[in-house]
Amino acid sequence: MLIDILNGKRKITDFLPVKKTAASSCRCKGDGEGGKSNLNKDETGAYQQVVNKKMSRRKAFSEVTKGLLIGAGMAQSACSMTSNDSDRNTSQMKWEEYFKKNYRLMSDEEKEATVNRLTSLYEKRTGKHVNIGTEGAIENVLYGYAFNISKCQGYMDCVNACVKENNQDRSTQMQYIRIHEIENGQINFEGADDNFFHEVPAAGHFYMGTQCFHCENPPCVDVCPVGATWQEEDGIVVIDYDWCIGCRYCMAACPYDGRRFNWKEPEVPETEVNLVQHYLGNRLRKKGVMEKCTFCVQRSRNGKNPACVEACPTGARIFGNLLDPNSQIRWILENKKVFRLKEDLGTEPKFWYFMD
Amino acid sequence: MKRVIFGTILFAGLFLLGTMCSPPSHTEEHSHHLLDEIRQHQSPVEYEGLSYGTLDTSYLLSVHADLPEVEDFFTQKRVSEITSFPCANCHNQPLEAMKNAQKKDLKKAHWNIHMAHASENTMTCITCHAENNMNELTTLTGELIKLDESFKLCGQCHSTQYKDWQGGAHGKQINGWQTPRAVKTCVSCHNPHQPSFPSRFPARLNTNQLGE
Ligand code: SF4
Repeated sequence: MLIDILNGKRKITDFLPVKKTAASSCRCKGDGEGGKSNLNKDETGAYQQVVNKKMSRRKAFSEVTKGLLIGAGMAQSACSMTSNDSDRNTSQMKWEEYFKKNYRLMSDEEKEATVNRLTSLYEKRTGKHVNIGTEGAIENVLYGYAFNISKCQGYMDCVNACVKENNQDRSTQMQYIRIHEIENGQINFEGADDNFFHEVPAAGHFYMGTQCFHCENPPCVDVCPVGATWQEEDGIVVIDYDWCIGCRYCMAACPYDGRRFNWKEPEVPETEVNLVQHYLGNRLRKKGVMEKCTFCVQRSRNGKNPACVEACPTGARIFGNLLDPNSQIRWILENKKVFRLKEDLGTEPKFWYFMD
Repeated sequence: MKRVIFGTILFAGLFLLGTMCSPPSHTEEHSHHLLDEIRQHQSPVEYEGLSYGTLDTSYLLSVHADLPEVEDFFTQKRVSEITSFPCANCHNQPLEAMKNAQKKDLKKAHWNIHMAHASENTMTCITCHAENNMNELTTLTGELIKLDESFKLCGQCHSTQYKDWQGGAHGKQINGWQTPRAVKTCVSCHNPHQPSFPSRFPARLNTNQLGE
């Protein structure tokens, strides 16, 4: 195992379930509590009973702190008139959320449990019911995307739809999609105007959209030190927002400017929150975590096109199953002259450009 | 202390051994080509259990593609969307008769239709509308075509777009991404009288890296 890890054949995180790994210890540190994790050695007092059970460090830590919390909660509720069962319930749920596993290692029950916690926490806070899906990849599906450079007119309807669909932070105007206005005769992103606001299409220019390309060999996944981002069976590269430690290695590793970071607490007006969500998709994020396009996993895994594809009035955006010989994307790959960005890197983006 | 030294040596040894014995894994991973892999999949995919995109064929028309490699697909019917259909409710005489009417009577109806489609030398109303049967369209050679099948008419001149539309490179799919496809028809997006898209302001400001 050690050799495998050293050679990069297997990632340390492949062993997450069995061992106390880099992932769990990192996360503890990230949470600012790392110093306490040698609890196993602390054989004093009330913790003994908990600690003597055979369990992982993470579990033990969680159990112990839960005990602490409940204790503190009781003490608090004894002194205060406002505290009640539901408050204690809330803090317990928050605590359990805090110590949950990496999504990839969760059993179906654990997934359900975290979704239930997230939904009831949201309901407590806002009174609204949010629907957080955990649909897995559909069999025989590998998603791919094609972008018609001759069709895109720079209307930006896709960006609007994407922001709305994916609950992106309004205050920093986060956008997964970038539309680059490029002068005819060159294909150079350095010279592109990424901040245009004038009547479009501008004479003598064409428009090219970029976003996460869901590479088949995603460099961002390789560099993540905690296994918080990975590629799903259907090719979608996703992030576990509750596992990400916000180191931004992945952002640096992405050759396509595909990742976005929450520098501050994201703000989405309560009335505009899209309540149809996916755990790995558009559920609400927090400060200090990475996010990006997920091909609208909450839509695509239910058969729908991503929001950008649906919103584009020119039909410049085409989405489909690369493994389906009858899909539009397959016809484009076979019949149009397609290219991808930085093909020489070997990242194999599943996002092709073509012209009429 | 001894244990620490021993551990370090063992670790270093294993590391060296590991790096020597196996090829760099990355080149191995990257050597397969995505396109080749994709092309191996030649059998149609069934999408069981996906409720979205289940086709309601009552508003769809099945299209048999000219292209041998393209399976039959669906497009939107059109007639149900035209508010004043059938046209013959008003057009009870052939257009020829109207030509003889006084100039001042011309264009009392359809005043809002402004033609910006090729030049006047190339196209007039009756290039597409059947002169003697206003409920239908006509090909360049005088064959009647139903309004629902107007794409055949467009395909006479716009043959590249027609081909791309059948294959899926032009147009929009309306039943999600699943197959069999249901796609918009030409006139769902293009006004046949002014088919090109207007220029306009973008829906929002492009804010690249405002917050980063
Ligand atoms: S910022 Fe990126 S690399 Fe760092 S933990 Fe989060 S997903 Fe992983």
